[in-house]
Amino acid sequence: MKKHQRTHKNMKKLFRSLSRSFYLFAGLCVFAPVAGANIIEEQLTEIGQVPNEEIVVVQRQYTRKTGRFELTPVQVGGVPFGDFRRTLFGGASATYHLNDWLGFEVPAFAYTKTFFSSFTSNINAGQTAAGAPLINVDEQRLLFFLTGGVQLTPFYGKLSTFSRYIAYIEPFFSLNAGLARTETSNYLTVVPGLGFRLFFKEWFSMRFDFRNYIYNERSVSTGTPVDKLRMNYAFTVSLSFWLPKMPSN
Amino acid sequence: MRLAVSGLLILSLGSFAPSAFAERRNAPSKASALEMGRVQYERGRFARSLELFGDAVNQSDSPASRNLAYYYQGLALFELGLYHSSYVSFRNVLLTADAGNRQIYEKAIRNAVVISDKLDMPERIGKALVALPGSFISTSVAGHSNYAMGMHYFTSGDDSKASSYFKSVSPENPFYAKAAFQLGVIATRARNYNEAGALFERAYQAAGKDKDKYSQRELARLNMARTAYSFGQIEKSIELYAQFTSSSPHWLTILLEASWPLLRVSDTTVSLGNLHTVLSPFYHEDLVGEGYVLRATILFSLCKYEEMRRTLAQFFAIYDPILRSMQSESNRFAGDDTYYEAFAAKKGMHRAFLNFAKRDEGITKAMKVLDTLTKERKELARLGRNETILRLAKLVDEAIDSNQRDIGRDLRKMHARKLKELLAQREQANYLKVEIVTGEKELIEGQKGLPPKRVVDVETSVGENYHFWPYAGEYWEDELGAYVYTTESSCVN
Repeated sequence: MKKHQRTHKNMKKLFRSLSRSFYLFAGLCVFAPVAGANIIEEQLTEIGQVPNEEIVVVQRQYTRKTGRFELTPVQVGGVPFGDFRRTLFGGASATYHLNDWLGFEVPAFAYTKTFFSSFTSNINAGQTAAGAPLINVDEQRLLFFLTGGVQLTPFYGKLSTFSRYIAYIEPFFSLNAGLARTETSNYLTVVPGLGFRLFFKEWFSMRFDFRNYIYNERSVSTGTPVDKLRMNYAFTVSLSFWLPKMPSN
Repeated sequence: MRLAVSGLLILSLGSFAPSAFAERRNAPSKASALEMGRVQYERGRFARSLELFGDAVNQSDSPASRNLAYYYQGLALFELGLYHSSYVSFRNVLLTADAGNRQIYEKAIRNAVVISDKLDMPERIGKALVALPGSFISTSVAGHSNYAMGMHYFTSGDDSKASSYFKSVSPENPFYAKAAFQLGVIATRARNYNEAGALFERAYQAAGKDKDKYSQRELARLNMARTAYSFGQIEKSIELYAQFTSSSPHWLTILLEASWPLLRVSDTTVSLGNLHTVLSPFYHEDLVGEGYVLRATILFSLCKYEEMRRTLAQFFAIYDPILRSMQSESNRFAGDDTYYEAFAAKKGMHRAFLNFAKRDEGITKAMKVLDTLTKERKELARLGRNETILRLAKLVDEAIDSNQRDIGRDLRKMHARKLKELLAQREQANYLKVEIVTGEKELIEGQKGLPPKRVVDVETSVGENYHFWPYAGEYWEDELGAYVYTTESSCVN
């Protein structure tokens, strides 16, 4: 390019002064003490570098959440760690994101289906009528959760997978409260949780949630009512669609 | 009732079958061959209709019947996906001006121009159209014809005539964007940058948002930026270069080229940032040596001599082997065909040049056309060995040979140009190496000792909707093109 040539004309001008400068430089090198020369070299190296700290990446956000809805029509999961009962989850939710770090999940609905394992029935089958009392399990099956709450997303990052694909990821914390409906009663539930989102497109993401649905369950299986704090550690995976479309600028 | 009709149909078919069979065995008469071909064509039996149209061409005693047979042959070949042969048939219609069949000229011109343009050879049909009397070109296909004739004169170097034909393409015509682009190229050749810029902009606007015209649009936009720079409109060229996104097929070229106008306005922040991408390991084998020289030049202006030294060392380490390899190739390769063969086989040619050639839109398109022609040749071989097919196959073979020769010629020219550029870059890099010593010397002298290192406070606040990521020496592919240098000059004065 011509401009390149122009730059090099300047270079040539500098080049012409080389011989004069070179002798002076050589003279300095000869007469200066060796230690002094080393210090100058070190200084030259130091000021002549461009350290990594002076290079930054200014990148357009992959997605923006401000004023957008995250619609989650598909959510599946369950409570896998119960001793003798397993609960499956299927649900949906809608989250309004006020900005990139704060969102409101209203509502979050989870329909549940509880199964009891054969653990207690197997034991009870071995008991005689005159023997020890049968093991009674409070069979208060969960029906659904209907909650609402807030989501905080303080972090944002990206993952490289097999040095091939880059996934945009954001971990979040959530705190919900609402209704836990069982076969026999309604309870107030508080749901702390954490999770993360993976964005595949600016309008499509996958969400992994770990939440604890806590409520004070009243057990009536022994005759006298007993209140017991029930923890439901639930894992769910869901797919979300983001509306409206992200503006191009 | 329905049964009776079916019965009658079967009987009638039975009674006609022997005569049809007889016709098939004996050569059909000239009129019947054309008619039978049309019937077969309408029934979707395109391969059979080809034979019959071929017979009709051979037996025709007037241009009228021959042209009609060629026209239908073109349609049948198009239906079979044999595009070059189809183009040849339509072109054959145009070789003879026949007042008896004026109505088919319009369609033949339209089809021939569209197909030849897809096959990247519109100048060939343009040549046929130049010889055709103007009265045979109806107004509805005047735009198509003007574009093709313009391309014919453009490739033969007659810019004045080409320009006149391109200007006659109306804005409503689908070839308007291409015609405007070619006019822009002609204006650039004439160093009329102001007009060229306006024409490229017109081409860009005319390409619209059509997906098929994406590459055309991007090329027009790139030329707009280049023209603005050549015309001295530095700010405008910076603005135009900044509009490209990483999805552009010219992304790497843009990053490199955009650094020049940025350097002119002393914007080292973005120009060094762009070059940070260009010089990343992702493009070590993409012939971007100019980027190293440019980076060293910018660093020189910032008195960043140590960084300059590293950049030049990197340049020599990467480009000396490439230079040696390309010099050996240019001595070894005998002719255009050797270049084509090495490129097609991806052997005997340095990968850096291969990658560079693959980025060239002309070469990519020519290779795609070659692929289409090769597939067509195979398809023709499967259609039998009658006279028509053999003739068409011979023409496809010729087109393949011609295409390969053209690709080889272009590759040879590109190779010679890049080798020359590389040698010049090497020379410039050597000059710059000397300048490092001079610069360091002047730095010491100017200050009477060295200035203290300035600690740059990196600005981390970025605009809304943008992220700031630190760079820790690791390149992430999604970050390419998003680097910014916050470094400041170390010069004393």
